[in-house]
Amino acid sequence: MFLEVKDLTKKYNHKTVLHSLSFQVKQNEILVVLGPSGCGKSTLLSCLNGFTTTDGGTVTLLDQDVTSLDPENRDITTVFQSYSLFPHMNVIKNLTYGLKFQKLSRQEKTAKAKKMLHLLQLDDYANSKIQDLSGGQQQRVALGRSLIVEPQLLLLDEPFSNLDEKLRLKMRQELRRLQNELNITMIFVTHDQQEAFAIGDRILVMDQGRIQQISNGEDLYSHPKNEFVLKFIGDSNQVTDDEYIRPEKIELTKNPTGDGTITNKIFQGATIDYALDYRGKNYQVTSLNRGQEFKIGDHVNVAYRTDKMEG
Amino acid sequence: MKAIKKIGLLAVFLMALLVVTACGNNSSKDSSSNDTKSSQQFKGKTMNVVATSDAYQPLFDKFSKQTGAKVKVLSMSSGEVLARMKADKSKPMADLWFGGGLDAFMQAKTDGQLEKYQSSSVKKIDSQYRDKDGYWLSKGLTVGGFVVNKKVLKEKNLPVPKTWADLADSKYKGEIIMSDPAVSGTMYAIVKGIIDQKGEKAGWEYWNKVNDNISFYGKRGKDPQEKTASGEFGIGIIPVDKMAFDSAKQNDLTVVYPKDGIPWVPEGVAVFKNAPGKKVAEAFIDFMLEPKNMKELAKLDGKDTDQIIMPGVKGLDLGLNKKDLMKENLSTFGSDRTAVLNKWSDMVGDK
Amino acid sequence: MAKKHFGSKTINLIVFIVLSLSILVFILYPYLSIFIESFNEPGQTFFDFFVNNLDLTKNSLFIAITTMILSTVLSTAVTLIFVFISKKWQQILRLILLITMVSPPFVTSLAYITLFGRRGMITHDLLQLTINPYGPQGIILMEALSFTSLNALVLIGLINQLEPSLINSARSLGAKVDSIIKDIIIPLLRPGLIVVALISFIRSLADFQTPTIIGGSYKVLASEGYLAVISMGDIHQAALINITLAIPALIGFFLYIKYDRIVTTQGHENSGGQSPFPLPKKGAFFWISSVLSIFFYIALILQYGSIVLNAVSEKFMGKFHFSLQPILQTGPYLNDTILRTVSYSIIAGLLGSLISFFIIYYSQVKKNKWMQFIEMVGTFPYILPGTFFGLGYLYAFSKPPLQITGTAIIVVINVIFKQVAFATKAAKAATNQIEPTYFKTVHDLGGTVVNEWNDVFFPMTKHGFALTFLNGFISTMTTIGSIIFLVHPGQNMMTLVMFDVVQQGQYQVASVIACLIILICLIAAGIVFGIINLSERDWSHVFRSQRSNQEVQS
Repeated sequence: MFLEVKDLTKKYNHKTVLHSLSFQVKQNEILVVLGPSGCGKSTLLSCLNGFTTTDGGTVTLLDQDVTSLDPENRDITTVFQSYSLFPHMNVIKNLTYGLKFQKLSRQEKTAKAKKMLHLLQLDDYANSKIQDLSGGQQQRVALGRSLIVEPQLLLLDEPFSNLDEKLRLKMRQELRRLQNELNITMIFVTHDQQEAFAIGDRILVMDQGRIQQISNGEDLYSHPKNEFVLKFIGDSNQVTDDEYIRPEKIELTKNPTGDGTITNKIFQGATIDYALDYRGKNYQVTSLNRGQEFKIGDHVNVAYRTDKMEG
Repeated sequence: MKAIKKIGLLAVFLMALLVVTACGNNSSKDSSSNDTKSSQQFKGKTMNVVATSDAYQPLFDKFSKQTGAKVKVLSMSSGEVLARMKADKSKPMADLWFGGGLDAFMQAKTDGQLEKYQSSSVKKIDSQYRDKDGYWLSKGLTVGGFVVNKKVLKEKNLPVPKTWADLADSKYKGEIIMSDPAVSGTMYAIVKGIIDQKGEKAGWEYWNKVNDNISFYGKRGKDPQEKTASGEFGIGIIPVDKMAFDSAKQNDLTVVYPKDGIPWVPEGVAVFKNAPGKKVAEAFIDFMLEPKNMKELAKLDGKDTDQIIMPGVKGLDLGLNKKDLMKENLSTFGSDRTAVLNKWSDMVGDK
Repeated sequence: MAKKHFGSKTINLIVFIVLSLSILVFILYPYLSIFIESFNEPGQTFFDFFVNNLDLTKNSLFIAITTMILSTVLSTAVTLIFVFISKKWQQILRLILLITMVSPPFVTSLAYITLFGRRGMITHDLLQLTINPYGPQGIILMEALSFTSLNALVLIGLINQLEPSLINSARSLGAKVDSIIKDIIIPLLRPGLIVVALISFIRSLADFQTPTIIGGSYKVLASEGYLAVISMGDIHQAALINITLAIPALIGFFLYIKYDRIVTTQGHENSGGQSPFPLPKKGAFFWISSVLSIFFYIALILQYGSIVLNAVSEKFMGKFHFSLQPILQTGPYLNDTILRTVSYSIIAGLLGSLISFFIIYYSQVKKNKWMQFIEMVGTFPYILPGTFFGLGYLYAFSKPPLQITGTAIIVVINVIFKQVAFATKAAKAATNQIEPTYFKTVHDLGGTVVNEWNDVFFPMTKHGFALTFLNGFISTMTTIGSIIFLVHPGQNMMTLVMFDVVQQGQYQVASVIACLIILICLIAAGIVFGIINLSERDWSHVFRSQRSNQEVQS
């Protein structure tokens, strides 16, 4: 196995923040670690890149146990949320910083830098100051700086959270493109499920220091293993302990004598969210905006299908 | 951006700076002192001096020129010299101790911190002004008197005091300032001199009365001079020298030699025990005892002819008359100091 | 990325050990020696001394507490004025405050006696009063005045960190000037006010010069400690006095650390919006602080005016005349002292800053507990009286294994390690500006500890380093207490010469030396600020808040 994490445990002051996590990552895969803030995902990342010592378990990269290696001796690099680009160095110096520690000739370094600049579409910015770059460009330099040393594994800690919505979408595509070109294995940490769906080959859902479920996005959505995953990914109306209805799976038809009543309505553009009162219970309903609209107070017929959690 | 290299360079730079400033000045001025007549016997040698003031520099410069020795002076009170020797017994304070109340020299002799030296010309000094065992000698006398701010006294309708006895008069209450005798060697000499003159009992009675007239004691030797000049007080008890007369001229004051006797204290000179520059220091004492240099010293010190310990040498004319000097018992000058000061501090209480 | 970091790990270890050892040997050891010595030596026990001299302690505390209150109020007023005036005036006033941080006590006291003495120009000539100026009132007033410049600079640094939108939004909600100050500015200054108050308290406890000059018969611990040495040669007594002093100073200090943490860690949020200042000139706060500030600046002008006047004039029959005589007279007093003082100050500034930045690297960046202890030991020379530190050196280094008294090195070492206290504070503030991930990035990409220093720590704190250097330089130029018992012939420093000529009543010469010291400090400040401004532009985007933060230390 490419990366194998086994029974990884971490405590801070007797409080366990990681409860013997075990999972694997395949070569050339992007694994997204998804969870609410404070769930332990950053700690997990710190254990992988070596900035935090562990209290149990092993991390094996390409059959080598790296659990107690110093960060600089691990073949793993990290893109931090704040980029941490050196303000006193220009773009090319930042990019090639990690090459300083490899035995490379000047020509080799320059060649690598050129290639990376091209890959990042920053060819004209080699000698620019970091401060003169836009947020997206800075993000790309940070990414490039970690990629240029050709690590076995790249970790990304919420790297796009400082960008605006549009740029974020673009960077997701960009990251996938780079991944395709460089065939690099990545672990990507985020709290944004859209981002997780867009980037991840597989998604590891975490809460309270425990792995809740690992699977691809579709599977997580359609077959959540427990209540946390159900509620964290997408919206849902829980019917019983293990039965739920996704809001888009409720169909409404206008009927003045229907036993459902529309109590609220939020227009979202492509979809419309309704709050529905049905047999004394409240439901959340999402309909596609296809010309059929209800007003608050309208009576409707309700049709739905319940799903079961696979615990 | 090699910060470490920079730090290395910095270290080299700092070391160089330290070397230049700490030791470099040995060589800096030697080339200029190519006086053809001088023997230059101490060329390359250094004499370290603790003195009561930086004002003696010209005399030391003259010595340097003549002998080639480099002289480094640090100005320090005699109390401080004693304290430093007590705390740091590992090495002598300096080579030469130049100036300061005789009590400190007597104390240092008792503590074994001085080197014996009998200059061939020391006989020229009156024997009461030098140690019979040859551990110290004096370079001149400091005499006590007072300075009066007439404007202040006039405002209060007070006459200018002429004698020590006048100061005990209660009409001068709150108008007299003197320094703490523990801080000022001259003040101690005045206190001790008057007790010697009047006798133990009458002496202390006198000081008790004066104490009633004094509102606080200065913590620095110069306080009485300055505070009388600024009009804070009408009468200041001071060491009388040229500086006192100069300051009187600047500030429109009057200097008074009390009619009922002038207390005095010899200013000491000695070589420190185990001084590395012992030979130079001894040569300096010989040099100082040459009449022309004695005269120069009197000028720098601002001393009257009658304040000079070597008969025949002329100093300034500050109107002092040798006859007016009090009869003092120098033998108990050092040994009584602690007792006198303790009694004094009990008397003045919190002032 | 092989395991090739043996060299860097060795360097790291060596630096760590050298730092620890040097602080223990040159700060902790001297203090310990004096404690041990004073308990071992025959004579009064500490307890006897303390009980017999309760009045001294009471006096010291009284002076320190009153000075603390007065100086805090005064510096608050001086600070508040800054929100009412334009940038240009701010710069002028800040320059005045910077210059007057260098304040020889004799200057303050001399002007005070001239103005408010029994024959003072104001009290006697103008108001026809004859008031006794000597005593606690004189000490308190003089100390409060001379501490205010530094205090105000600390507070002004905090004002500059205020989030502009906070004040702008308050104003748009209709807040009057007084309520802005009461509800926003004062609460935000609060931790700073506490720090400033405690600094004043500690400085007042340790000040031995002002009480000896104008205390009259009023005795405090610090001056008695100094006099015990110079008049009686009684070092045992001096040690006892200093130990007594150390108790309130240490209490003050631990409070100070607590609040100082808040000051140095808060407020990196200045988003650089529209500056809300100057506020309209109205309201009670404006008038009260104007009156107090005017009083303060007039007092400053009188004090420093009197130095300059003294330096270029002579008195004859009670009248002043212009004369270059004082300047000419000063020559023989100084000779090679100027060069030596400046060199020592440069060395102390650089090495003191370097040591402090390394300590902060370990204690702050690496969160090393041992180094945090070392950092705390490093602050002792700041809280305990300087004379105490000097006496400690005299005791500790006059015997084997380290016998260095009498050398120039001991003076240099003393001034270097005296810096560490303040320099670590400044270093901490500069280091707080660097996000921890920068250090991680270096390791992540294969670098080592040495690369952290080379590529992140020193390059990214260079402005802070420059300011720390300046601070060390100025405080070495003006230091007295800690080296007064250490210098031997040929090692004198300018302040000591000045102190000495003041003792001898040579005020003219003292004034010339004071002017020279101020001038040298100004030139150094000019050079340092010039260098910073040259390189500042490139950085402005990245460290928007850094500058305002660092001004806390300047």
